[in-house]
Amino acid sequence: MAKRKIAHGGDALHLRLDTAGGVPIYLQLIEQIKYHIATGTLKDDDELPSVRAVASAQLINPNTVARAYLELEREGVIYKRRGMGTYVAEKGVSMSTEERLNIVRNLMEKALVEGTQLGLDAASLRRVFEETLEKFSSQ
Amino acid sequence: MAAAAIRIAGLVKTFGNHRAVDGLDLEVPQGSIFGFLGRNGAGKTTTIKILMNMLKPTAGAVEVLDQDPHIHEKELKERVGYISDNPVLYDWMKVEEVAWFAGQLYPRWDQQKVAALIEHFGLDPKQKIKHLSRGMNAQLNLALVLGHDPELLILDEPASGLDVIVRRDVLESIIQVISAEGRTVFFSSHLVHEVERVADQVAIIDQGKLLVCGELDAVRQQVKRVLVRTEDAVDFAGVAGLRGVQGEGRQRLLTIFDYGDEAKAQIEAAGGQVVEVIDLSLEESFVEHVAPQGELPS
Repeated sequence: MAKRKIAHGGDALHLRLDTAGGVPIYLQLIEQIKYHIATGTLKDDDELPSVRAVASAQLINPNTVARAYLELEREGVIYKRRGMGTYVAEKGVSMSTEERLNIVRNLMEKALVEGTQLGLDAASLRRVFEETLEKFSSQ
Repeated sequence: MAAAAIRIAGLVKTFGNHRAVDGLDLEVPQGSIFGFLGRNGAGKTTTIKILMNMLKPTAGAVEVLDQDPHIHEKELKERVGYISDNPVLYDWMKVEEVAWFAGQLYPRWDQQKVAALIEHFGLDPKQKIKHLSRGMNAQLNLALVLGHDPELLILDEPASGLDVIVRRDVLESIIQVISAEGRTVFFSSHLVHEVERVADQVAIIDQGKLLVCGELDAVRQQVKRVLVRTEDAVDFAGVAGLRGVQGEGRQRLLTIFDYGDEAKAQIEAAGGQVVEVIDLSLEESFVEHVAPQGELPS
């Protein structure tokens, strides 16, 4: 399979990290890389920028990037090749369908709690879900 | 335990009646980017000057790279890179002359790297030091400090008073140093949100004393805000670790240190219902740590 190399400097991997919200930076990295994989910006066997490239581009501690990569590797989302680099694993190989559904279930619960607190009813929430899914699938 | 790049034990420094450093204990692990935080006048610069043998401690001991800076000053100068809070260079020299001059002081000196950094920062080698802006001066100091490839980089308020571009250069330089195996960066700052991006260890000092020290995320998460739903006249004063209450009536926002099951049970016993536990940013956590007891930061 042809390997597409993500440009160095980490710029091609679009990350937006924020320190105001109280979410640890390594968690933000994990979430955003997963997001890029889910939306197809990162594809199977794409090479990720090196730890150092991400650290320099984002001005964050290299240990933080290494920690995020290690966690993603442990979850089977990415894999390392000795002396080479870090690549996107084939999707979900290591996770069962139920595990994956559970992750989404938890996220949806959070969104629904928020929506209910904002006073939205079930019909509006369902509509938002359908619309978002529609938009997402057409990408 | 990991080796320490800096050890500070029972450090005291007095100026007349003023105790600038008041019994400080601190260990900076090798390989860390360590943010040394405190308000202006908390004792950061005094501590750093003692590490650099520019001040003598009144009591206590410090070790830098396993050596006493008072005894091994010359050797440590070669192994440690240091930028003071007010770096002064010979202002009659040109940029390239200073770079050459600095090279004479260090046995291990990479002139090519310094020249490349000077170019990267967009500095004119022919420019006189006295004509450099504050930001350019800071960039030149970074280039010079990286020239002898220090094992330990000590920066005193490196980003203070600099524009966004130069602050980026400062952070980039820190990352460049740390990217080599086993290198350590120790920097003081009162600009907490910048520290949060790059540091993995932090210490907060106030009035010469250590308030808290450890991994950044642990220090940050030591303080939580807890949103509580309650009846009107409920008193939460007995909740363990409570530092402040905001709001009145049916919703209160409690600021709590070391929040856990015990505090939660006490909130419930007092007649409150925990709605949400909110994580703070390092800056918010810092404010809570250094705010005087009983006074609420707005």
